[in-house]
This record gives sequence, C-alpha cells and structure tokens, in this order.
Amino acid sequence: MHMADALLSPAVAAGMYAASAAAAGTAAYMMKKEEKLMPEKVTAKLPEMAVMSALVFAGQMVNYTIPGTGSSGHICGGVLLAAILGPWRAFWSLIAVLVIQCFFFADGGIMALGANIWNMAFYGCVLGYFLIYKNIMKSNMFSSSEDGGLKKKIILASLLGCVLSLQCGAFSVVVETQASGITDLPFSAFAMLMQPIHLAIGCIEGAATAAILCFVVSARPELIREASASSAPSMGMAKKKVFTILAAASVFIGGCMAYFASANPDGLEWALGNMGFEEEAAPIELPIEQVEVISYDTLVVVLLAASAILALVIIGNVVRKKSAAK
Amino acid sequence: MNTAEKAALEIRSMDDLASGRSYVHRMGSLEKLAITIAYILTIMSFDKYDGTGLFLMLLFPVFWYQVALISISTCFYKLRVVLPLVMAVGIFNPILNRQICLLIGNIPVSYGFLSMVTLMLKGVMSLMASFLLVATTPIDRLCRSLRRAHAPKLFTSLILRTYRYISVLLDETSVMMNAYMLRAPGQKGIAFKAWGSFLGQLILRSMDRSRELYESMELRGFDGEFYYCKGRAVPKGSRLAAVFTIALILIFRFADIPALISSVL
Amino acid sequence: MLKFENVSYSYPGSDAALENINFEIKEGEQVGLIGANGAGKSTLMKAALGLITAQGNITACGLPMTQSNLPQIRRKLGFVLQNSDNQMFMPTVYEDMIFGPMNYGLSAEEAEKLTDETLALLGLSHLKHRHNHKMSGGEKRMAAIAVTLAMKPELMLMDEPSSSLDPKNRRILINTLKKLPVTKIIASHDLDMILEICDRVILVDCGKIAADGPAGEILRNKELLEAHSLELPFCLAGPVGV
Repeated sequence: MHMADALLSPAVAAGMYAASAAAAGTAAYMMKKEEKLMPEKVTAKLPEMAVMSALVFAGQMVNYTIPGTGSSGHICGGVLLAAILGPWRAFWSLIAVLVIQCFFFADGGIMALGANIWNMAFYGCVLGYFLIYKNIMKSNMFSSSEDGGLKKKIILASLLGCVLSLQCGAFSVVVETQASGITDLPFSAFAMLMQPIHLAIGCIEGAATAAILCFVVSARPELIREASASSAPSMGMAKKKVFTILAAASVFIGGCMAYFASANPDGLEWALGNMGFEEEAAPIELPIEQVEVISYDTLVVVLLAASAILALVIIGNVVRKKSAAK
Repeated sequence: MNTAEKAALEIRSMDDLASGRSYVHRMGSLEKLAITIAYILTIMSFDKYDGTGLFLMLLFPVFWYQVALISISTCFYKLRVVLPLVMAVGIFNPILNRQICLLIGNIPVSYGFLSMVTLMLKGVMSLMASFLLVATTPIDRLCRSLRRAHAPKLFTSLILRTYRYISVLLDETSVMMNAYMLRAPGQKGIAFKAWGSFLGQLILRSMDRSRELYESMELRGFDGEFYYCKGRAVPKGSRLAAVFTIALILIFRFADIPALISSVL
Repeated sequence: MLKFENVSYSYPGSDAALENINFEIKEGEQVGLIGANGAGKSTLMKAALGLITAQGNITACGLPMTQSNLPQIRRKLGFVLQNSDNQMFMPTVYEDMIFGPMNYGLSAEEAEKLTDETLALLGLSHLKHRHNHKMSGGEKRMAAIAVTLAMKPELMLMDEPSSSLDPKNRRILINTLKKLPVTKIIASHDLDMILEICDRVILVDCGKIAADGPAGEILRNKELLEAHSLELPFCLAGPVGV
C-alpha cells in the first residue's frame, strides 16, 4: 500500500505531511505525559521502540502462507505494535520503519512519506487502537470463558482493528490520488478496486496479528496492553485528545473528498451511472484544427535533450571505468 | 537464500554504494536532501499533459548520477521490484480518456496516453532522484546532520537505533526461516499453524534484547542525549552547488525552454 | 573494591536466584566466576552492577549500593555484555566509545583523545570509524571491550567474553585481558581461559557460593567441579582415551 511520489500533487503531499506531523507531535506529547505517570520506565522505552521497529521491518520479510490460496503475504504491523507498545510509541516506531523503507528500498517516495505515514501508521496504531482494540480489551465480552475471554477478545480486536485500519488506509489512498488529479480512473471505480482487496488483506493481517498476540499473551501476558487488570494508569485527558485528532482527521478527509467531488462532479456521476469502461469508450474525435500539433521547435528540443542525456551517460561510463581501473 | 537474507544483503550493498568518495558523496547531506525534495516537488507539480517539460527535467538526475559515478542501470536494477508498481498506476488512462490531444507528425496521441506517459516518467524520475540521495548518503550521516539542524531527538535517535538493529534482527529472522524451511520442505511460507509462534518468539526475544540494550545504556550513564561524531568536511561550494541546482530546476520549471532554445537557434 | 554481605535475590514468582552470598574482591584481583547454566552467575553480576535490587549489603568501589550512589558507582564499573550487538547501539565504534565518557561530562576533545588512546592500547585503531553492523563477531567483541575500557573503569565485569570466538580471536582476547591491569570479574564456561587469566575463582551453584579460592586449586579439583556440573579444563584433563 506504499504510495509513490508520482501519485500525489505537491499540495496533497504537503497536506499529508502536515497531518502526519501533527499526529506525530501529538504522539510525542502524549508519550511525555505517559512518562510523567510512570517515570521509572522512561528511558527503557526508546530501545524497546527501536527493537520493535526493527522487528516489524524484519517481520515483513517473513512470508506467511495464506490457507487455501497457495499465495503468501506479510504483515504490516500497526495493530500488533500498538498492542505491545501502546498507540503513541507504536506510531513513532512505525514511522521509523516507513522512513527507513523509504530511504533504503525506495518503497514509497520521499514526498509521499507523509501520506504513507498517515495511511499506514496512523490508522493502524492510533485509530485501530483507540476505536477498537482498547474498547474490546476493556469490555466484559466472553467473560464466561475460562481465561476471562482474553484470547477471544484479542482475536476479535486484532481482526476488527486490522480490517478497519486497512480499509481507512485504502480509502485514503483513493482520496489522496483523486485529490491530486493524477489518474483518469473515476473515484468510485478506484475505490471499488481498492476496498475489497484491502478487506481481504485486512482479514489476513488480522489473523496473523491475532495469532502472534495470542502466543505472546500466553507466554508473557505482561507484554500485552490491556491484557491484565492492572494495566497502565488511565488518563482522563487522553480521550479528549484522541477525539480531537479523530475529528481533525475526519474533517481533513471529508475536506479532501468534498474538494474532489466539487472538482470532478461529472467523474463521480459517470462512475455511478455505469461501472464498466465500455460505454464511455467511444473516442471523441475532435476536428483536426483543434488538435495541438507538436511543433518543430519542441521536437528539436526533445531530441537535443535526449542526445544530451545519451552523451552524459556515455561520458559517465568512460569516467567510471577509468576511476575503477585506478 | 531467503527473503530476510536478501534484505540484509541489500542493506549492506546500499551501505557500500553510499560509502563512495565522489563529489556527490562528500556533499553535505542536508544540501542533497534539499535538492532532492526541490526536484521531486517540481516533478510532481508538472501538468499531466506537459510531456516535453517533464522530459527535459530528466537531464538533472542523469547529470548528477554521472557526477556521483553511479551507473543509472544500478538504480533500475535495485528498484526492479518497485518500478513496475509505479509504472502500473497510469495504465488505465489510455482506455479512460481517448480524446486526441496532439499529433506527432501524423500519429495521433490521446490525452489518456499522454498522461500515462507523464505519470510513468514522474514515477521513474522521482525514484531516480530518491535513489541517488540514498545511494550517496549513509542514513547515519543524514540523521546526524538532521540532529545538528535541530530535528527532534526522538526522531533521529529512534531511526538510528532502528537502523542499527535491523541487520541484527534480519540475521535472526533468516536463521529462523532457514530452520523452519529445513523442517518443512516444499512450503512456500510459514504455515498457518506457526503464524503466531514464529514472530511471537521473535517478539519475546526482542523484548529481552531491548532490556539488555537499555541496561547497557544505563550502565554508561545515559541521560537522554546521544552524542555523534563531528560531520566530515564538506567540499567547498557544496552549498553553492545546491543553490545553483535548485535555481536551475526552477528555471526549467517556469521558463519556456523550447521557446528559449528556438530563439537561440 | 567489591564486597557482598549476605546478599540474596529472587526473581518475582520464582525460587531464590542468589542465597546468602558473601565475598570480597580486592583491587587488582582477577576473579573467575564459574558455574553451570542457571547457577546464578548473571544474577550475581547484575546485582554487582545495581541492575537488580538485592537484599543484603553490596559495597562497590567504597560506596554502599544505594539508588543515590548508583551513578557514581556505575561510573567506576565497566560491563562487557555477552551479546556485543546489544552493547553497541550507536552507528560507529567511535560514537559508541564516546557515549559513556561524554555522558559523564567529558568534552568532545577529551573523549576523542581517550578513544584514540584506548584503541591504540588494544591495537584496534583501524576499527575507529567502522560501522557497528558491519563488523565480524571477533571485531565486535574486541570493540565492546574497548567501549567499556574507554570509561576508565576501576572494575570490569565480563559475561562470557570468549563465547563464539574462533581460536585465533580467543587467543588475542586472552592476551589482551592478561595485559590489562584493571580488576576483573570474568563469568565464563571457558575454564581454560579462566585458568590462564584469573588468580582466584568463585564457583556458584544454585545461587550459593560452592567454592572460593585460588584458581589453580579449584580448577584442578575434579571432584568439586564434577559435583557442580563442570569438568576439568582441557589443558588439565590429560590425554583423552580413544
């Protein structure tokens, strides 16, 4: 789900950077607050975050066989991290993963980083945690089961959390691309393409997250958030902050959608009218006078540039060989 | 070789590329970052039907690759996995928008086709630019420069620590994957039954590792600050070169180069 | 230098890991800490470093082990972890070496000077600007020792320093350790190395001190060693029957 630079216009990229930076700032603030409540653990957290980021990075290299399909996939880790590190630290950890992926594997571009952080880290760690994971884990569901329904709650929370965060992420990709005016693919067609795929991915991610968390909780329950009755001290302020962020997020996304809808009303209508591409397919032939004919000058310039590029490459090769020979 | 081993090798080879000694390698990290961002932003701001202007922008990365003594094919080879995804984005455009927009000689070109080409160009060019930055700037040097430029401490120290432990954990993961595969021949990945325990085990051990790491910091008097070595000497004129390049990028974006050249011709 | 008086410790929810430990280590002593897996060697080291709070009295470098004394005590202790990767978390060897000294208030120039001296002493000057993630196991171990030495410790504690080293690197390590005059406590299963470096051995079993005495005596006592799941060092075992 990594977005590339080419999919975004500068304005949207900058907007997403701003949104992610605001979320990261809030997360850093919340982390400081948490640290004040349990000062003995302050410095221990940085190594934990770093090692868990590295683990998510390495864990993404592990291919899981998906039962019944013969294909395989890997985890992305937002909800998993949030369950272990808590939402805010998890968010920062995943930022570190995304930044390094962007810089090492060119997975997602530098300008798209803001959007990628929002689409993947924010929804998974923050939204998935507060909206789903925390509520389910704190509830009395399945309390008749022998372990107090702990594992069942973990399974449900992981599944719902992953599905929700991936749906939001996929939808954001669609919105961001459309707001950038990059593709001619109509909004709803793009959404119809993305959402079902990511529903499947979300289920798999959820199943993997649930399996991992169940294993960890049976080995060392103290590692999992909200797994024991005496979990981290509750924070009255936190809720308000979260809802502020969520409100800001929905306003932002709503704004993007409204912008898109107003900019391309016919695109939306067209897509709602007919989902196939066939009927629209008849090409509109404009009279030849209205069509721009590429000028001689432009052709010359393009050819000049092409030959300059070729020359540069050849010179570069010669120089490289010479310096290698030394 | 399993995927984790491959990734570890990939990281090592990027490290080797980045430890070169060309002018671009020696330039200040922040200057390079600024050029890259300016370049990619400019690329992104091009209209989706402005193929000529975009094509001229290709001159920049090609030039800088030569100065950095890195062959462009290295970039395409390293990014062979990512490139198709970037290219696939605009694939529907020619089908969706068949309106003719221009003629090259007698060949009609539709808006959809043109936007597909520019989209692919944009994708490839921004990848080329990002790759050049990565291939000439070790991540630790970039983080040190960012820290000196007052980037948040949390951000830089987290990234550096993560970067440090990625290779350690990749090694550990690859050993586990090999151990699994040796006992489960013919399986494509980790079977459903082992989903939880495989990464779960790794999580348990990683948490132990993080505790030991913390103790090691504690024993050496950690009080919240990491100290980095002084930056290496940046060649003279590195900042000037950056300003000049960014200016040139902007000229290419906003001046009508074809008209300029034809007036000269 | 280091004194344990009636020290006991148990991990939450399990049996005692240390039980009534008493010993005193004087300046300049080279002490080997031996014992089977799970005997309590690591716990003992952790208690000496103040990483766990044990019952009883621990005095290190003339100061009683209390929360308020911890910074001063730790400044004088050096700990070489078994896993060098976990010890060195900075990008390069150099940055790892200045980490401790600079946290203790040295200026950048002083720290650099100290680093250069330490590396030269160990003959490792070529490692200064190497990346921590790109070194071999042997190099990492030597660098970890350099990192600890750069803090100018009065007492060095080492956890399995010779594990996973090849014979050549192990030899280099032993020769280096023999050369260093600093007081050392070395926990290891490598009894041959202990015999070469140490003049005193403390044998722990089940959280208690089973024997404490001159290295040559304890390491030659076959019955004692075998009673505590150990064996004679190879160099003393004589030819193995084929």
